Amino acid sequence: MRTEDLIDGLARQAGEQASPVENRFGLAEAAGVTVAVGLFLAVLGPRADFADAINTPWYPIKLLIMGGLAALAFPVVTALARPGASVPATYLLLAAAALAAAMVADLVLVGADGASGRMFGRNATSCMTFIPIFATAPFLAAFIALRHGAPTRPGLTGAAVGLFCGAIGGFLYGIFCPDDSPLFVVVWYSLAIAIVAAAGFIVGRLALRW
Amino acid sequence: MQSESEISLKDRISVTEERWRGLMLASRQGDKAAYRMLLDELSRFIRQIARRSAANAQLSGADVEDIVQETLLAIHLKSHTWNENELLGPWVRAITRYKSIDILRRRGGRLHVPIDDYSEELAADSDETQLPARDIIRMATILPERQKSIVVAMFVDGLSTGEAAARFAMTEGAVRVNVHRALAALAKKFGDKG
Repeated sequence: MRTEDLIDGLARQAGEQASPVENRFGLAEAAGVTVAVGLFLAVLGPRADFADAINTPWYPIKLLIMGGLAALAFPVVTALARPGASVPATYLLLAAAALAAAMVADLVLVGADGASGRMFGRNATSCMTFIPIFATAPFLAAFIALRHGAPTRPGLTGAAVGLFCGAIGGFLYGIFCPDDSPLFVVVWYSLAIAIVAAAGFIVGRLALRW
Repeated sequence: MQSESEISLKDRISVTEERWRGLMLASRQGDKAAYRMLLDELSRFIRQIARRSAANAQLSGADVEDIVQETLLAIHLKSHTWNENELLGPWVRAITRYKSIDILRRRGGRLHVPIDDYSEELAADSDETQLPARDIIRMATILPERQKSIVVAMFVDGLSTGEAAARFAMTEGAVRVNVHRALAALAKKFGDKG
């Protein structure tokens, strides 16, 4: 068919565009995060000393960093789903900077003694298990919604999805987790989130081509 | 300090950008004439970009038209990924780039084929490139019967949505859904086959 015929045919479909991809992604994540929260409450729930922990500095800082990372990663994903859009990726450095500052504060205020004990914590294995588990529902929801987008860098987009969902998983698991030291967070939470991001990269390359 | 030519280039870009934005916004409201004009202008813009990448990769004119058609189809199917707060030019350029790379990758195998060993296949190839761009309608054979008849009616016979609805005794909404599904299936087919 000649290109002109294609244009004629398409022109007759004017006004047919679907809803913006960021709306779909937002709706999908509302559902995905709800499922993850339900799973968290069913399987773990907040830690026993929640009321005390929330008044310490380190527990809320951990949750703020995870929540902040998710909030910063969300617009990165929606921008990557739109061709030619500027991606607000540099703001992700805020989360990294906050974590680095918290680490320094931990070493200075709590001291270098026992730093390796704080870093290895008590629950590294369950951290590495549950963060990916709680990330799963938002992860699946994201890829269903993003099939509707047009990511020109499918792998990178998938990795950003993994970062966002890993941070959601980190936030939820963090409510339960008894290890609050930023030294623990920087090693084990980061590792768990990196695993989810790597999975996102692979799934993105496979599932987000269009 | 900017030179005068730079300023005028910038001005020209922003004039084009404003016109495209106006046409796109009108198209979103269902203005078919505006959409036709927009797609027509974009097809030239895309062809320009495609010619450049095709020249680098030694692709034929038919391949250029393939890039143009696939990109137009993608622009249509993904038009909701353009955000009114952003420029249209970079959006179109990014889609064109993505689709060009896709086609170049699919054609990649034959770009590096030594001529002597494969002269017969190359001859067959060049016959093929005498044809106009690959035919969406020929590819429509993969579609379910109903979708195929609707696509042929609208893209070959030139029926409007309303006329197609009357011919197939469907609502206009159902025709739109069918056309959208058919185009999405064809775009996917384009992507799978080389």
